[in-house]
Amino acid sequence: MNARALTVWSASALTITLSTDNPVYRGLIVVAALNVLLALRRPGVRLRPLLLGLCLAALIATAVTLLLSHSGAHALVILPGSIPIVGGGITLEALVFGATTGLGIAAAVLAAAPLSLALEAHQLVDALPRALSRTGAAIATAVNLIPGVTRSAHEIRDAQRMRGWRAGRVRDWPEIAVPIVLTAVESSVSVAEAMEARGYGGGSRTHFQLARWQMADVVAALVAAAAAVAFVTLRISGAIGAWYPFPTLTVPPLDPVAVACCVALTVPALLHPRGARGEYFHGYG
Amino acid sequence: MKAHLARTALLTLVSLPALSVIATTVSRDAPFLPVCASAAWTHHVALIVEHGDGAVIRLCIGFDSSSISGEDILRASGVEFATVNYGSLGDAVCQIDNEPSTYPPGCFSSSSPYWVLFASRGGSAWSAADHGISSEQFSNGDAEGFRYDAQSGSPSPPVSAAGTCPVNVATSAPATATPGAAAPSTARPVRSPPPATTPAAPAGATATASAQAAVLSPSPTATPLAGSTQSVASAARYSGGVNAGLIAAIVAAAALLALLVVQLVRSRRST
Amino acid sequence: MVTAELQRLSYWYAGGTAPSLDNVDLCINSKFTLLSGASGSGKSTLLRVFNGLVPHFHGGRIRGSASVFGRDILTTPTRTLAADVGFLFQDAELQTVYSTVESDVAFGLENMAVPRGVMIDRVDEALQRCGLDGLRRRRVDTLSGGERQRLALSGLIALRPRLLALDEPLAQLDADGAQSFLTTLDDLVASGIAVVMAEHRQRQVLPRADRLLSIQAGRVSDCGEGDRASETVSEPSRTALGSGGEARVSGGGAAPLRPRGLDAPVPRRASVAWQLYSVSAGPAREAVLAGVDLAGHAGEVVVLMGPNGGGKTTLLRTIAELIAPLAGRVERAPGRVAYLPQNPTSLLHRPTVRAEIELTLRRSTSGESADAMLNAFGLTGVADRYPRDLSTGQRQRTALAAVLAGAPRLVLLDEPTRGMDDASRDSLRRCIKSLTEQGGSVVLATHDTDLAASVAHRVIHVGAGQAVPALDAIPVPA
Repeated sequence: MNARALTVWSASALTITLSTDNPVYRGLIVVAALNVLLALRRPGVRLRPLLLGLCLAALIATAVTLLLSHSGAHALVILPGSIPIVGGGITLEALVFGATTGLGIAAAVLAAAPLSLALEAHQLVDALPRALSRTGAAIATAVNLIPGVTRSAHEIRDAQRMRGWRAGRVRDWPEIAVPIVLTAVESSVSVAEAMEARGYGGGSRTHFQLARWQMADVVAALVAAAAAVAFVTLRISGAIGAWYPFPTLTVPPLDPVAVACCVALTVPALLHPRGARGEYFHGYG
Repeated sequence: MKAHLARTALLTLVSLPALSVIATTVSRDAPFLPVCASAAWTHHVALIVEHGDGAVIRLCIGFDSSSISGEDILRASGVEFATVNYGSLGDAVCQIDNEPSTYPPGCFSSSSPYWVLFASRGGSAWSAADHGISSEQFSNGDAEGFRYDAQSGSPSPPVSAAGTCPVNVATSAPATATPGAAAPSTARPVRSPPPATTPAAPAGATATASAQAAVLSPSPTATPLAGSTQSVASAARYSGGVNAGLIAAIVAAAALLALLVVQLVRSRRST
Repeated sequence: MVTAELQRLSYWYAGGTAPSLDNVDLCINSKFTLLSGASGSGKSTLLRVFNGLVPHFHGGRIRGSASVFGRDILTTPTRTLAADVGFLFQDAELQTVYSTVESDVAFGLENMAVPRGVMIDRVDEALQRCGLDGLRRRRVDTLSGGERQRLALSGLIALRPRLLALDEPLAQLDADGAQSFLTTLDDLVASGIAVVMAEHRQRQVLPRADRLLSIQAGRVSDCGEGDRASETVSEPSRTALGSGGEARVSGGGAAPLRPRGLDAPVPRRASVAWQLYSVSAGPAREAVLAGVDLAGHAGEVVVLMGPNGGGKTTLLRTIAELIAPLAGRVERAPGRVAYLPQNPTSLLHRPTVRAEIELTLRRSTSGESADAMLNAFGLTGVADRYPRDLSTGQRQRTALAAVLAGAPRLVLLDEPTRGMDDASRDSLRRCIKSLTEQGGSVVLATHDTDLAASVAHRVIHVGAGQAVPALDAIPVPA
């Protein structure tokens, strides 16, 4: 998908997430964003680490709220008040509030995730405005250095281990850390030299890859932007109000139009099915 | 891709009837009975505020002392209110929950509606209070009521406070909803005019019950986050059409989850 | 027009006391110039003058004059010179900027603000000339070493330079990669591009050169042209082969080298130093080698040869027990193990060369002093200098000394002579010899046929999932 179109989508999803505290809307955004991520991710990208991390963050948010907020009408269990901080009622409302916070975190992260998991580095860089194109080239190069640095880190650790290094005292870690940093710095200086030898620096640049807007990109971007605008309008006009689980839990109010806005975020997943494997260029001329 | 979309649409259509059945069942159930949380409070009073258009705020206020003044109840509730001092008579209530939006410096005028204070002692029927909110004292099991009444004859009392604070709240740990205590399933939407009669149908048995329990009290304690007072006020004003939204949300969730599963299966198969 | 002209050029790196280039007077007019010299002699510095990296990127002090295609190097920025002079570095990985082949080739053109229509044609042309047309849409990190070096070359060709300066381009390539690179280079030279190359692996390059330059301590001398040149330069390599080597160094069609060890095999009584029983191994749960049954003995040098990516590094790491085998068993005699990774300079971090060696000695039980190692590798003169400031070859030797200090019982070396000059190779050879004489065992993975021929007792061919003994000869590329 075109990088700028995807950026519009991410911004819309993020806007909607941040303008509501209703767990149902947030949950819908999470599922919609997951669909988009699954559909658009680069071949070979594994989602499991990201998803596990998000689950962990959500669990922590829920647990923290559950244990520290003692308000709410429906107490699940009452801990003796003598326990500091945690003592008091553990309530259903606090559970729901914590879960809502977790959902918000998940939705926000998943809204931004496709920018790094669905696009190639240079797509993002090419989408930058002209003024930043040199910065972009520098960033793309830096990103390319990462696998090499990682590999050399493993090598260094192995080699130092053979020289007798043992992972133990903190004092010993410089023996690994310093070479890694030095090697990374030297690598980046070498790359900088290579870039300069190829004429980088000063003056204007042209672009080889032109990001093209296909119909699917235009539609996806417009739909996402419209959804965000509609949702925010509903919010401002008061048609969808704020929802708060305290002091008594109630079913959150739901507006069909707002639900439709959240569902509309799934459009990129439907319009950009996974192409033949090995097709790396999305939306390029 | 067309087959893909068709598959999704089919899944949605199939799940729609099943889910709508569930949705309507859910919406008919009584909500959780409002209970004062933090059973550590020994005493409770009910607070009823009835607006001119019939909108009702129900709150249960907890306190530890032997009695509490009407004004303290209002303050503890977090509901917005404004008063004017009448010297030895105490404070008079000019505005509750932003009604009326403006009032004269003297608080009352000869023709416009005004807030009438009622008291219900130990579960009995409402009776107009003799004093103002500063001096009127309430003890455990009483109820304080306000009604925004037009000056046309003797003021009628607000809706019943029965069931606002459950009976055995001080001793047992409050459990989850006790639907048995809920009245018959006649839904009472918030904006309808209050029935002149029976104190039945407590706990406003709609999914959007306006009844809420407040745990704010004069003494500092663990309180919900700031902003709760706003939502208490505005939460009383739900717009209609909620059931449609709920159905829409359930259908949408089902469709999106179905799409997710389809995508996962496809990616698993192609690796 | 003269390609390049240097007059009384002297250059000092920032903070350097001795000049890296000392009064160089040079006139380049030939089609293919080969630059040879020991590491630290100033080869890389001289090459970087041609496109202005010295002095514009590296700073320092410069004196004299230099011009390329009539342009004064001291006043023309590198960006302008890059249109005429292409520079290829040793490490292919550190020259690519973008992640796909096509995009990376276009990088130079983008920098020169070439209009897009022209760019597309130039990219096509460059990919064709370097034989990369079929790889156009590939991700760069899926390319082999040889392909990556050709990619770097095509990125330079896209700008249609008139001169190519190449700084040890073959250093990290295996035999096939080097061959394909040189073939491509031949085509480019035939089309009229002048080439100046610095390279240690001279066997294959010498026949192509029509001018030979030698540089030592910043001073350049002309070694003449053509065949006469090959005689002067190849002397050191020929004497090093010494006993057992039957090679002819110059020209193609050299006879295969016989491993020295075949004349004096290790006595069977020697104890087993390491053994693999039906081992399958691979970096990330995918087996690169399967069913390997090998053993090494005390006092023996085993050489692993084979293509890059074939499993030599995996085999070494399995013997070192740095990775657990996916199947089978590894057994090792007790004693210290020394392991030299593929980029050994990356593990240097102490403030002086001596400190680096002493770090290893402290941890070993031998009472050796650092001076012995310093002497063995010719590092006595730079013992108190910061290792990362030294030239490539000196850093390589420092890393070797640091790893081999302390009389290890088992020594595992992964491409130790990459980018090394003859003197360093000699030091290594002597060190290996003394290690085996003391009863140590050595396993060596290398492309360097000279080194292999002079130290190997046995040669194992590693590739296509197997590790089998190569019983007869070490093949030498024609």
